[in-house]
Amino acid sequence: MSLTKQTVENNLGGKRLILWLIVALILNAAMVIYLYVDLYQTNTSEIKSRQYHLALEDVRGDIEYYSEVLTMSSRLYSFTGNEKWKNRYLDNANKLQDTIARSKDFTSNVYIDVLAKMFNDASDKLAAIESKALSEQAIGLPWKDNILFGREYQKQRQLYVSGIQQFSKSAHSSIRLNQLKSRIAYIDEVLTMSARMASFTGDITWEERYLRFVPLLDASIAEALELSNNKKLESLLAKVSDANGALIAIEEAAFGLVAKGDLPAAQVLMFGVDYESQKLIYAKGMDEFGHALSSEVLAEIQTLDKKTQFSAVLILLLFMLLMGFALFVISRVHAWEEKLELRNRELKSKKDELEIFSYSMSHDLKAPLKTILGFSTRIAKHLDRGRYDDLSLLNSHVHKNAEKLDVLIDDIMDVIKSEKTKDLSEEVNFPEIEDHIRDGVYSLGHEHVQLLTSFKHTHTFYGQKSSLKQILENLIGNAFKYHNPGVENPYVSLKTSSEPDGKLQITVSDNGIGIPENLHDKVFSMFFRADASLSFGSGLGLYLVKKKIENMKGVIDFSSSPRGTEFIITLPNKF
Amino acid sequence: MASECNSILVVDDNESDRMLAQFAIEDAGVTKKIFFSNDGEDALNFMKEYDLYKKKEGDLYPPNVVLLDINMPKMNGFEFLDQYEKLNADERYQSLIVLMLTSSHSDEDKARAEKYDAVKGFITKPITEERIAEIVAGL
Repeated sequence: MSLTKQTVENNLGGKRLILWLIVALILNAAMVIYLYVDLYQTNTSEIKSRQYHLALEDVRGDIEYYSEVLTMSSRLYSFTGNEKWKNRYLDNANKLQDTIARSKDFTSNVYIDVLAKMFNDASDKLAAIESKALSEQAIGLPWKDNILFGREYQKQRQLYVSGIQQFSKSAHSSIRLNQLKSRIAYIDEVLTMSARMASFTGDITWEERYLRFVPLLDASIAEALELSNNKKLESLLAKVSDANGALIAIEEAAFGLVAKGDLPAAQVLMFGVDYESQKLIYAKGMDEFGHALSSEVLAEIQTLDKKTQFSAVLILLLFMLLMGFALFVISRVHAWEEKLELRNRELKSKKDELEIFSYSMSHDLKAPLKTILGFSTRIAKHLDRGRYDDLSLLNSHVHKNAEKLDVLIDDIMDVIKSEKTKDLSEEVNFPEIEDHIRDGVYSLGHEHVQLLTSFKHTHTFYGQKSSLKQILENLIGNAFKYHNPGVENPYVSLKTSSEPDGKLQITVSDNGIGIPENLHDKVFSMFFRADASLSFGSGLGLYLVKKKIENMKGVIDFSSSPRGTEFIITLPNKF
Repeated sequence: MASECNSILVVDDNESDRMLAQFAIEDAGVTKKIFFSNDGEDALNFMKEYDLYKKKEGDLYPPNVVLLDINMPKMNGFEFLDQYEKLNADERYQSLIVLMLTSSHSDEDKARAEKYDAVKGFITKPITEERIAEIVAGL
């Protein structure tokens, strides 16, 4: 009882384990999907943010730079009347327009939108003043009368520049480098133009502006050098820095001349071949630096993209591995469960057998005892009453029941032994078994029943000889007992043959009275007896036959009709 | 002096036990006629063939007491009771008393036996004439 209960619980445990495993798997899958989505989103948003900031910085830096160029070109044109400056102005004015148009891509950000509006306004007002100055042919006017130096113009420029400088520093190095690149270009333009303005106007206050920007330029170049993480960017920056040093030297000399009042000499320095060639070196260096930087940023983004993909593949692989493992575990648990189920059924049938055994044992062992007890009381009574005539009859019943008890105890011992012991395999000699059985059955009478044998097995059979002897003794004994007295030639036949795979097949058949159909499923049950008037056994005979055959890993089957019965046993050889 | 009944049917597969029952009944002197059956199936057939035995046995048939062994081949005591209850009303006997016989006392068997209306007693073997007389007196 307790055994069965325990195995049932084990079985439920297996199901519960699978359930937990599935839950764990679902949680796991959810986690993996969450990780995957999170990683993908983080990386994608990082890529987008970098791309956004990069584009934004391009626009901002360009606007800052162009606006300086516009102011200074328009001023220079108004001083010199040189068409070169007007063309530069117009050229850069177009570029600024394009850039402002590009800046509309960023209107999604409210803050940037407000700023963009601000420089749009200031930009429009500045452009209006500049074009007025250009068209009015104000060339040669003293600078203090020039509207390009007027209060309104200065105010709009302040607004404009402060708007553009609102953008915060980017924390990301390559974007910050891009910001610095624009800053350097812008400051350089400021320095050049301040020195040139001073050389035209003789106004030494330009030097103040100039001196304010020089340290800013140095700081920007230093920061850029620090952030540059490769040799190419560093060498380009060094080139720019050198050209810058040369330019500053010329500009400082020009300021010296302005201070002495020698404006024409200062102008010669500021527009001379030396200055222009250094400007060219500087501009080329900045240009190359810009290219190198953007390709680096692009490469960074690509790397990030690849990392995302790689991580995604890794996560998927991990997930598949987990799934595979889970499936493996589930299949193992399933197999284990099936095994358990089988074991459970075996145990249950063993338990049922045991229950029948203990019930029948107590009943069947007691029955002959009670009968003997009854007869002994009866004998005592008859002795008392002086009835001596039937004492011998009464005693024969005592004897018969004692014998029955003896047989029963032997059979029960045999059952217990069959559970425990396993005989060794040995060569089985069938004619020897036949002789033994013949002696047995004919000693009980039935001389008119024939025992026919035919041993045709081709493979020598190795098995449990004593068990096989008992099995055949029992089957053949039963066949003799239940022979049909009504047939002319009652017989019992014992045949052997070999199956192709070496298994032994034994057939015991007869033309006896057969087993009633309603008893077919009870034939191998414990304590089965077909007919009380014919059977004197314990009812354990066929149960033992089946048990012994199963011990030898064999099978037994039978068919029966009122014309006879046939038992077929199949046994593996040398098992 | 002793009470009598029509006849008694003894159903037992063991020949010795049938003989012991016969002695006990005879000594008790409670009936003139005893019928015997080897098993439940045999007994059921006997009971079904009312007309046949009535002619042969007269007023002694049908028996109104059955001594029924539990453990028998073919059809055991309980199977017999199941089949008997399924019989048509005209095949069943009025006021039939069944006394179950068993070699070893079992509470489960006793409880099972008490569920049948006809079962009026549960006797552990060997049966004695005193027990028979007592039961027949109670009829």
